[in-house]
Amino acid sequence: MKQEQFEHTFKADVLIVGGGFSGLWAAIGARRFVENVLIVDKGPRGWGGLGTMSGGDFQCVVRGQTKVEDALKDVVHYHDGLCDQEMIENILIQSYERFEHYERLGHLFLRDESGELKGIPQRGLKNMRMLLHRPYGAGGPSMATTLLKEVNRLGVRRIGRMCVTDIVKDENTGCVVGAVGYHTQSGYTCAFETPAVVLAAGAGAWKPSYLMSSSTGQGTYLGFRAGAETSHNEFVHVWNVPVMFGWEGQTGLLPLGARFVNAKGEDFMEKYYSPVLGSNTDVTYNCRGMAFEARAGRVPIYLDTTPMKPEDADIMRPERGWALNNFNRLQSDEGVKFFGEKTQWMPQVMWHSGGVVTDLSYQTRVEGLFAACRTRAIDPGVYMGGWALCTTAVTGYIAGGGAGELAKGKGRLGFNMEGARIACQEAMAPLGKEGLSPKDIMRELQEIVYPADVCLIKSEASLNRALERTKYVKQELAPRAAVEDPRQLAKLHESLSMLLCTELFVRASLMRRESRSGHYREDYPERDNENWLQWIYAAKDGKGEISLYPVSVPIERYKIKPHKYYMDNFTFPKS
Amino acid sequence: MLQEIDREKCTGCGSCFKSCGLDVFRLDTNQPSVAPCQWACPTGVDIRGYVYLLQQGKIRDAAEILMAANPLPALTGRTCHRFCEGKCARTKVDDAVNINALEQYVGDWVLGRSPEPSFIRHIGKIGVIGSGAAGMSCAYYLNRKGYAVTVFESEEQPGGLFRTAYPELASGVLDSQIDYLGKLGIVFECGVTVGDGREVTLEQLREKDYKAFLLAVGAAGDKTKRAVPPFSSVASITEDSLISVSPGAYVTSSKDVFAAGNATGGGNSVAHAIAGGREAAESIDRHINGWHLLEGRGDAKIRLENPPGAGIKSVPRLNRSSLTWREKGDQGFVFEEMLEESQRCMTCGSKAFAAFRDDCMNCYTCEMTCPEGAVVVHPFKENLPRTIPYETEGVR
Repeated sequence: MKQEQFEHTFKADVLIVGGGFSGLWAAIGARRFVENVLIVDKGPRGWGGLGTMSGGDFQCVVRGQTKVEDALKDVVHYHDGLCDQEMIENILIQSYERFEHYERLGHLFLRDESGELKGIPQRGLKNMRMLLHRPYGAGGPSMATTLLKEVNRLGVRRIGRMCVTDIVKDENTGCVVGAVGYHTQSGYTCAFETPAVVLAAGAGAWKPSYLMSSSTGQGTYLGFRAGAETSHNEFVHVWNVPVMFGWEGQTGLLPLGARFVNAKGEDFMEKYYSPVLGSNTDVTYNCRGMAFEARAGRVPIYLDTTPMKPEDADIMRPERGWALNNFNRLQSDEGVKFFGEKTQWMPQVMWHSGGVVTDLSYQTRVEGLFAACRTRAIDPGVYMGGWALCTTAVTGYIAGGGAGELAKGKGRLGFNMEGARIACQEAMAPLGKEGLSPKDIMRELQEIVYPADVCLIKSEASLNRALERTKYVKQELAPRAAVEDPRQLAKLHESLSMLLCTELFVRASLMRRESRSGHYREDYPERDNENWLQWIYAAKDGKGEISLYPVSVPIERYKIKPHKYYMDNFTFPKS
Repeated sequence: MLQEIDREKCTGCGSCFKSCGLDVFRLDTNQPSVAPCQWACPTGVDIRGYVYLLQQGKIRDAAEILMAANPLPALTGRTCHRFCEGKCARTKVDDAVNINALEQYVGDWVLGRSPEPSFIRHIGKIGVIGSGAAGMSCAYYLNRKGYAVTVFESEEQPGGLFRTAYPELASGVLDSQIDYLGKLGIVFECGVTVGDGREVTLEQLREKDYKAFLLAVGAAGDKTKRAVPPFSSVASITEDSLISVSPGAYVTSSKDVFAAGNATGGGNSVAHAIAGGREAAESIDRHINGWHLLEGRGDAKIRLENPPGAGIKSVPRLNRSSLTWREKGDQGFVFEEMLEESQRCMTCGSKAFAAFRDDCMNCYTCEMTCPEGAVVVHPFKENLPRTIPYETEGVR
């Protein structure tokens, strides 16, 4: 399709890519400084993103209950020292303000009879507490409704079914002047003139067919192409899921007595972790245990809920929302009771921990380009309950505020229409042609990342195999992808960001020759603080290829000197 | 994965299509039963069809459907009596969809683009006397069918009642509309009176290769001032000084002379005049091709019996210029307002189907949003490459 001009042009003070919780919070933050804030999202205008499917629970350092420094110590411990302490401290401090903000807007959290907030410690970390929303299943929709109502009140513009394909920068200053993309149902091309863009597009992911299928790393893709640095690419977040169906709330099942067992019926996790944590451990470590069991031939893996007391099962029984529909249908159509029986479970790669590097105002090294929550890499492959809903709120609000403040000072900067047109033509080129299906490209990438020896128990040999196949997809398959319909073009662009995340993940995994947090190298199973208390950054080199380089964690500057490590709770077999 | 959509239960409201995060659903709006809005519209526009396309931002395709029945949406989008909105099923939920503003959006979009001239494939010419709604409508459809059309207007500027009754249209959109028709290849000759004993007679035009005529001269309120009498040599004139035409065919007592609009006394609204002009164009085409004027026309339509409404969430109607950030001067919707308001349309009587089934992520949003319980999601998910090997198929 030849593009002579843009079908639609939009002017905004701040453009936010992604209308999930981060993007909505960014809009609330930006509106403190500027009037014209525009959110675009690939999904429908009114949905609120993946957070709608969450539990609506919130990780929070409650004032008067917990000290920020104690919580920070817990996170440094949990992240095995690989922690941006200044950023995390900021998040922990502001978590309480956003919690109060949520309650002010009408999303309330559970309190006990005396009116005290009920904080549930996460992953055996006593200062990291999750505030609950009840009834179970209603929290995500409640948060989404609350935030959508607020952005409507603030007059935030929102457009759905919009795919942004490139950030446009000024040729001389390198500052952001806009973005280009297209409307995914009509295929009409769009230009956005704006001095500030917030990437709030979630994490990279490989379309696990369960609730996480809409984010594919387009924030990372846009940031990388615009010249921002990325980090945490060697980490993926692996989650335990039922083989056949979807389920939410697994982290609540284990502390209440449910157990993962192997084909022999053994509670295999006892072998791999210390009794200190019990079952209340991080999911990544559970999944690594499953992978070792699989290697020993003791599969399938089951979740056994029979040890749960009936009253505890009642607590975890879905009461609202999609989870209730799902549960009812499982019982009526498939005879699956779930409680009081064993069901087959497995690890599944849920999202890429990698993302864009920013400063404390969440601005990347590209002036005018900001990133929030999972598009901003924060975690090394481990995850606490309620953490995403905390970080979407806190980092979204700060990033939006930073973008708004910058836009207020700058005004609109004039648009490089020629550069934008070229970028857009390139993005639209595969439309209306015959070629490989984007779904097949995605399936190739899933087959690269999903095997346990790539995502859970890594080695030089398995990662090299993955890298070779990634290169093949990049050089031979992806250039041949084409589509007939703009709706499918969006899927093709998703496959391209998945491809970038795949390459970043495999290359960074090869580079980190040690084990730490969510990254486990069978050939380097120990932590190596001397060489690897470092982040691995990745950015675009002069040829547009990936360049990787280590950046030291500035421990000397940080408050907390790492001395204990979460990974030391576990022992896995040495080969 | 999505398991089924019960077509019997589906009322076409589009809740699944509008709410799906992965954009799995599409609607089939091409159904035998007619939605209440279309039923009420004198021009019979397939409103659910074009608004469904607007919901997807497909303005060009929407314009095609709209203009198949009404060629002047920029004008009617400002002047129509909104018969459609009065019958809109949404009035039982909250307020009618702002169809008029959507129509204006499409009309303005069309006028903002320079059209390719129509290819003229017929040798003879057609004369349209009068450049109001009926005249412009007939001229448009004949031009699209490949006829060379000349519109004669006795006033100095074309537009008829649009110019005299709506002075606010005169300098802006009306001129753009006429300019647009001109670019299609329609010729306007203004300041020329046509008729018996006038500057130009039909007989003279017949000699200049005019094969047929449309009389669309309007009708002044005062019957003594009507412009009809100069056509008494070709058409029979009623006591009220109106032109008598045969029902449905719009033909006068002369085989090559047709009439539509207020001059025939029909309907007395812009929309009726447009419909008359369009139908007369069809008759003229049939006349020139020697075909029966009525065969196969006016097929019986079924009125939709049970439009959606129950269980649909209330969303406030969007009126023009309702967003505070709008730059001043433009009174119509902008793209994002158009998308938002078009989403309020319940596309009554459409049928939903899964167009991109393999993207379902089991979120149950469609099932929970469907007010009729027509969408069923199966709890089993897509079969993906596995992280660990497995030996046993099934849940246990």
